[in-house]
Amino acid sequence: MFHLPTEFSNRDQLIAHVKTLAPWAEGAASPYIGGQQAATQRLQNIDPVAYGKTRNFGNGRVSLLSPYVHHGVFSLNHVRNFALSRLENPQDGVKFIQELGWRDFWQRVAAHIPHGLWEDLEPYKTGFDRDTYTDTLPADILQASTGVACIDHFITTLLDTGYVHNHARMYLASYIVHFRRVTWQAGARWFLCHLLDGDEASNNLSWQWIASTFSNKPYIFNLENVAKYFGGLVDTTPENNRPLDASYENLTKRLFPNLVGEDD
Amino acid sequence: MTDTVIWLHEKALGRTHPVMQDAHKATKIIHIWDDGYYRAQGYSLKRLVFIYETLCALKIDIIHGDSLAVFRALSPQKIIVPYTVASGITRLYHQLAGEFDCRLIKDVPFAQIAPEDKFRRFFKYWQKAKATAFLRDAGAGDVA
Repeated sequence: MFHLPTEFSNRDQLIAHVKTLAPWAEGAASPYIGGQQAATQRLQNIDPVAYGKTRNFGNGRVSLLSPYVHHGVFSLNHVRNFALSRLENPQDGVKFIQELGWRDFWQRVAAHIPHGLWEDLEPYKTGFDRDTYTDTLPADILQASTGVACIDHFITTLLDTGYVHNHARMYLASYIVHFRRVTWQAGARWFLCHLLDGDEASNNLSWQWIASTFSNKPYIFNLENVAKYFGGLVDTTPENNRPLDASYENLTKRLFPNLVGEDD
Repeated sequence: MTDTVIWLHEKALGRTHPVMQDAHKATKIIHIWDDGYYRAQGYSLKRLVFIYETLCALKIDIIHGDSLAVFRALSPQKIIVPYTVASGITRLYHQLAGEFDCRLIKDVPFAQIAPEDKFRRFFKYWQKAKATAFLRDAGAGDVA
């Protein structure tokens, strides 16, 4: 039985070792470092109150704890307990604690799905059948060359770091499923390949929520929304983001033509 | 033959999990670097490096090999496994449970909700979860 090494002179040596174990693995290492020490630093840095006020913004006080929680370095209970220790009134951290609840929710849903996490739980509510959606991610998405500046920025971040702001994940998923008519499964698989916190339950069920196969309606977004939450952080100029530059009403007509006339 | 083995798979790489309460009884706490498993997961290099860094910090044995073959070689009397819904780990667990005495251990819950309760929407889950979600250890040990 072969025991693998656990001591390395530096990070580059560890990375080189993992490359020899998995020569098939795509890409480079993330700047985010695994392990208890890095996790503890992130935990010490949380601000549950600030999180509640800024979480939807690209530069908000998100905790970046998700990769460590996903791999069990900390449990949800541990993170919750620590957050409570930082709060005079537990309700002041309601959004932070509720976000932990979302992970618990996805795990509980997953535990009850007899047919697994890769099947559509409900029909699409887009006016399209599943067969309308392609199972293959287009090359321009894989290469961050869609020509939609903010989308390409978020894809590059995903590929380079393995971490993307949750709001940006929603944009990416919506763009892939609704603007490009790709199955959520193809997108979910791609996210799991790259996201350090890629969790089958949270990831797949979130993609289904966006797609409308586990929600009451499809999630879409427009350039105005991206500019509101990520303005100054990514290129949100109309000329570089043309497919997104429309009102919700016009986007709905364009993306879901079979639903026109069903609203109100 | 080995007495008890605690198998820390990639979803349970921490020392605070209740499974570690059995550590004093276990002869081994291991992670198995199973090439077949990781390749099937399709992880990119950055995911694998993150996992490996986390393993090194844990300071447990990392055994390179096929999961089933490793356990057959160890021949434990009991295997203790942290619970997860992850399908890849669950598949491995069921293979092991077919040959060994395996015990699944759940983590301390985030909220006190009956396992049989089913939810299709978050707001229904939150109606039940919020009663204990704001309590340390979900109020365990407190009057319900």
